[in-house]
Amino acid sequence: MNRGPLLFLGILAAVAFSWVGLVLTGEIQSGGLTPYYDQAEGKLYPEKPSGQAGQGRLVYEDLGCAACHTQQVRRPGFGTDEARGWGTRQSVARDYLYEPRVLLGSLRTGPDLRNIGARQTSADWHYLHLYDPQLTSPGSVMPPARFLFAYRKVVGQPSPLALKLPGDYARQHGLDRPGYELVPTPRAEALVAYLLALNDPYTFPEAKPYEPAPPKKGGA
Amino acid sequence: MVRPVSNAGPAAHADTGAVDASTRWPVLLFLLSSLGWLLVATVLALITSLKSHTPDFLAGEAWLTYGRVSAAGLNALVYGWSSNAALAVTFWLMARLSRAPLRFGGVLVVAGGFWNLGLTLGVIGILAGDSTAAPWLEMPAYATPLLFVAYALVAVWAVVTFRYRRLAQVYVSQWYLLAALFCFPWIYSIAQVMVVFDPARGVVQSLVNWWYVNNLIALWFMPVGLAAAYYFIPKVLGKPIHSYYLSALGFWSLLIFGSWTGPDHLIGGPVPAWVISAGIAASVMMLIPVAVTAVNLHLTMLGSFRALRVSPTLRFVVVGGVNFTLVSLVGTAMSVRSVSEITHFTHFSEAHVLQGMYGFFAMVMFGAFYYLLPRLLLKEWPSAVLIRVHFWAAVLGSTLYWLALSIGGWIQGQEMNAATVPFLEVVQHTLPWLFAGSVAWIILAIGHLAFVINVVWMLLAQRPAGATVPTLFPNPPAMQGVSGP
Amino acid sequence: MITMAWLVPSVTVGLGLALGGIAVGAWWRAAGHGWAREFGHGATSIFDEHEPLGVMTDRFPSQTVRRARDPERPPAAGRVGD
Repeated sequence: MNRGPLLFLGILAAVAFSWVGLVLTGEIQSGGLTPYYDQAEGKLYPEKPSGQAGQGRLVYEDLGCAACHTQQVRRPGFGTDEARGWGTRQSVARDYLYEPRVLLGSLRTGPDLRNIGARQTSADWHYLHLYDPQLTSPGSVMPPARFLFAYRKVVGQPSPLALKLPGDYARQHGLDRPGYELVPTPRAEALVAYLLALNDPYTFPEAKPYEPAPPKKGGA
Repeated sequence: MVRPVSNAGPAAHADTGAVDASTRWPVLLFLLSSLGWLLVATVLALITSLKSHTPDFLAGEAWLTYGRVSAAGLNALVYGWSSNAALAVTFWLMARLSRAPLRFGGVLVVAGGFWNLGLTLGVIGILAGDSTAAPWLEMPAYATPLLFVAYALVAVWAVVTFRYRRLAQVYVSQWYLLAALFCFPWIYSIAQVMVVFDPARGVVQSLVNWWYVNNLIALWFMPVGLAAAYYFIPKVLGKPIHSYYLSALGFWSLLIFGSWTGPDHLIGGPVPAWVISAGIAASVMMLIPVAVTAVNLHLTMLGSFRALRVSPTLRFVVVGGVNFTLVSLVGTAMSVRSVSEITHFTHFSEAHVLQGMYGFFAMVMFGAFYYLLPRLLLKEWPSAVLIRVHFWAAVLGSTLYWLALSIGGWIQGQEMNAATVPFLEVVQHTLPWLFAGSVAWIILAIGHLAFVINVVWMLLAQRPAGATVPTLFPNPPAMQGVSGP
Repeated sequence: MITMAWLVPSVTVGLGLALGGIAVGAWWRAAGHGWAREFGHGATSIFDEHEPLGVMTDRFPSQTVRRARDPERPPAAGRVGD
């Protein structure tokens, strides 16, 4: 233990061993994954996200949404992800093929978002939720993202994207000026496009959909 | 009774005072930087904690939104406070253990400049919206090259210093410090390349990311913390480490098993099952280095607990050592699948992270600073009261945070695993525990303020004329052997 | 491209076990050659003439020395040996 070169070699070996064992083998096993071609539909899955959804992903990243939300559905029998309606099957490596930044997340201060696009299909719901989470989810600890919206004078026709706030809420918060509307900024539109696209509907051969357990006979 | 061993003639060892003096500028720079970042991290962490139960707190602007401020706080804590402190203690310890004055200190001062500049750009960048969104690697790509430059300078210095050491014996702390200095650039470069600059495709990215986070703790922070504990406990007591021959086993088993526990962060995730099993196996094997460290550090304290009343350094370092054992045991427990099913994704893991980074690492660093600063400045700590305030605030705050978020997280996990409990109800039940967490941060903040005030006061105080050693530990033979009640 | 999922893990695990076995063997041999005894001296390398064994080197500031000890008597705290 007194000789420098031996010590260095040993330390290098330890680091290299873990990198080879975990990262390199992971790369060999999962890095070469390709999309799955469905013969019947003539499509490749997973599908590539649209440009606007891609922009929305960048907004999701810069606001740090991954600090509170995961995007990984666990297998049945391990937690209650499917029972909570967070997905019809567990997430597999192929689902993340086209993601430049894999946003698995590590905390569930908020629910898993892997399939939020299937759960909340209405853009209006998302706009309200982002503007003030208490509007759609009372008691939520999600921070309001009011900075993603603009309260501005109506120019010509009212915007179809204008938020449909409940009357008394609008009054309480001074958002009921006539001739004004609360609209999402382009960043908000992109973010909602991204959230609506978050959905893994296709079942790859390596992923089996969740089958609810048969009802127990007799008392339990 | 073991006689002190001198491995070379007196002329070959530089005087301890001269060695300490040679480390003054680099160590002071990193130490003071670490304290600045400690205050920044404390503010950001407190804001984050308050927002976690009161989402409307400071909610108007994007730059303070929860996702950004929590990442900024984490990076300030990990790379600002913890890594600056690690480097300060490493430089001082390397010089002392080599019995040679620190050479080329100017290189380290330049390194410190680059490191802190990069950090400042990085933390501000996260708040501005340039986060990379990769856990523990959020600092944007324009900031991290500065950290590389800083680190390259440190690495070169380390190799040269080790080469010029004057003591043939290499003490256990030196193995740990060399491992830390060597491993950090490797794991950081690999992580930056494979996650930030040329991201790996698909879930391999997450594998690399968590391999990195795990190894940052197992191969950078743990070795530096253990190096300090292995030095300060025997040094303060005047007593050698118990069962020292075991320390080699502890060292190698930490490196080999500790570096494999990364997959624990991905249990249940979309990665190959055997990778996760390997991670779990490694976490169980971690019981070996934890047991060795417990024997070496805790058994050395047997019969000397009265010394805790007398020495600030010993208090901090021993508490840190105890937390090392506890946090490692919790980590092993968390890797067991049935436990992970409950604790994964909950506040329990946040509590675990802070117990490691603060309960263990920060406490040991505080202990180290209390020892080395008087020897660098040749002055005494101006206020024992402030030391006591700092110690009790640190212990109470970190224990409260750990208990509150562990209990809250456990309940959260149990309720999440009961599909009949609506999600918003699960959230509501965590609120009182998160509030206790904010109280804990306020207590920690008080401790940090007390410490920084004491440091600044000491810096500004006059050094007694003709001082060559801290006044409590003068050299005259008449004072030798006197160690108080 | 490795398609057999068992090949990679078994090679890595096998290699790990082999290396581990070599390490244990080396240890065993070293222990037999009295390495542990020599090794133990490293524990005292951090002490020297100025900061010797048996003397504490840290104290709260302003804690005065309560009573000067007879230099021949060993100090109470931080007992050495056992």
